[in-house]
Amino acid sequence: MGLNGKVAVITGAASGIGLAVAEDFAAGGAKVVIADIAGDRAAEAAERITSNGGTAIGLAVDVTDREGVQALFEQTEAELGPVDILVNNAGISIDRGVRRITDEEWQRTIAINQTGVFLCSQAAATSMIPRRTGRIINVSSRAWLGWFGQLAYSSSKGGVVSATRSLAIELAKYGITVNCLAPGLIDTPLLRREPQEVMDRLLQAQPMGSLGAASDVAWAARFFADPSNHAVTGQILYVCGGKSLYAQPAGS
Amino acid sequence: MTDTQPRSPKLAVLASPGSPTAAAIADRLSSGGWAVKAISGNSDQREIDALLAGQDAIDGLIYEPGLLDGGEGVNTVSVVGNLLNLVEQLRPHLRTRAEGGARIVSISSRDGLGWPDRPHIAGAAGALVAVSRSLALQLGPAGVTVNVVAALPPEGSKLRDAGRPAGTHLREPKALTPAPVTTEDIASTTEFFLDTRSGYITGQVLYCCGGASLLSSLSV
Repeated sequence: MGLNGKVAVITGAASGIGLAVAEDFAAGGAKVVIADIAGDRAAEAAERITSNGGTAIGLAVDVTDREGVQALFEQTEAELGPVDILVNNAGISIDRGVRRITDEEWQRTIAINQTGVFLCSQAAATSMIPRRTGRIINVSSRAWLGWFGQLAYSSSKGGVVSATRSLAIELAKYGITVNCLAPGLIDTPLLRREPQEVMDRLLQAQPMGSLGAASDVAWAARFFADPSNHAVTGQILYVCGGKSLYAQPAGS
Repeated sequence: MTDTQPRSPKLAVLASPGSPTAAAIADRLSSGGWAVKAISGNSDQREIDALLAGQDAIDGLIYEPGLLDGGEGVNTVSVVGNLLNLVEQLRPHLRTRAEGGARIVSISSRDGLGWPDRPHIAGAAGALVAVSRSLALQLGPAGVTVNVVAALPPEGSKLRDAGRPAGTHLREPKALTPAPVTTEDIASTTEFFLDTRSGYITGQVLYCCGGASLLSSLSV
């Protein structure tokens, strides 16, 4: 696939799915910006990619801060060139039932997961529109369909789905596609810390009976990022082992 | 840094009555290193056995019933029944989960979202999605994914010139993106679902339509 020489900004890319996307894109020849609130870890991740022969820089960014986001895209353009691909991956998840979630937790979730997508997409689209090309990929979650204890998270990720569709409609005429990934259960160190009984319950809700890997999501991101893929836009692709088809865990 | 991805699966069965879309899929897969065996959508067990004699396991099945080319002969019962028969006949030959599993892709139409003068195609297209999602649930434990490419009738399809449906003020949907949707676009989306790396994606529908489906409430 043809990512060679493309400039890709990936937010929340110092670890997890974002890092997997950055590594995959770099392996495909893209010049990647590892943008993360943790600037040190972003720089370390970029160094690892560079030492493996890829092209990457690490930049610190708070996606909720307009000036910071603006600076991210200016620095990207100065060092690597104008952005061709944006992956809006930065996000947080606070598991809290409706009676316990606080105002601060709600606002913070919406700010990072939803406003962050708005600010980064606005900056990227402003750069992409005059060039009549671009790819924006938003990382939502299967949980936007709803899940236990995820009122704030699923609400914010539902906003990402709606943003994807509106951006896709608005930007289509400029040759910019906007698509969305909705990962389900992905094997991460954080997930592995769950007690076995929780893992068993989660796996019971997996039609394929298995966990996904961050690389599964990265592969789907690469499909949407490909410059030749111009006819698929506004799509929500679940990378979830079928959980979006039927997710009722036993005993619930 | 080199791109060290696993090799693509090798054997794809392409079930279709024959269509420009099927031809584009065959071309795309062949140039991607697949061996493609074409069969009609309603083959019997004897044809299947002859086709597979001496073959290794099947890595991919593409079911392209020709909904994008129009025609009054589209029959929902046949479109559904042929897929179910095919899957039953081919199931023993599909690559096992331990070997990396297999991929099934159905080619449907965005007409499944509803279109005034093609209710028979819409019915078949919608049914194909429902059947594919059910097969995804059925075959998931075996490591077989089942996904759908729901396309806008591509450039060259006679449906592109269908004009305004009688008695309505509606216009034939067209891509919002600058370039028209082509059979090659449908083929590349199909190839994505067929890839070994798409193993955690199942039961999904990707509209290959240049955004033409986005205003339908059923498209999300």
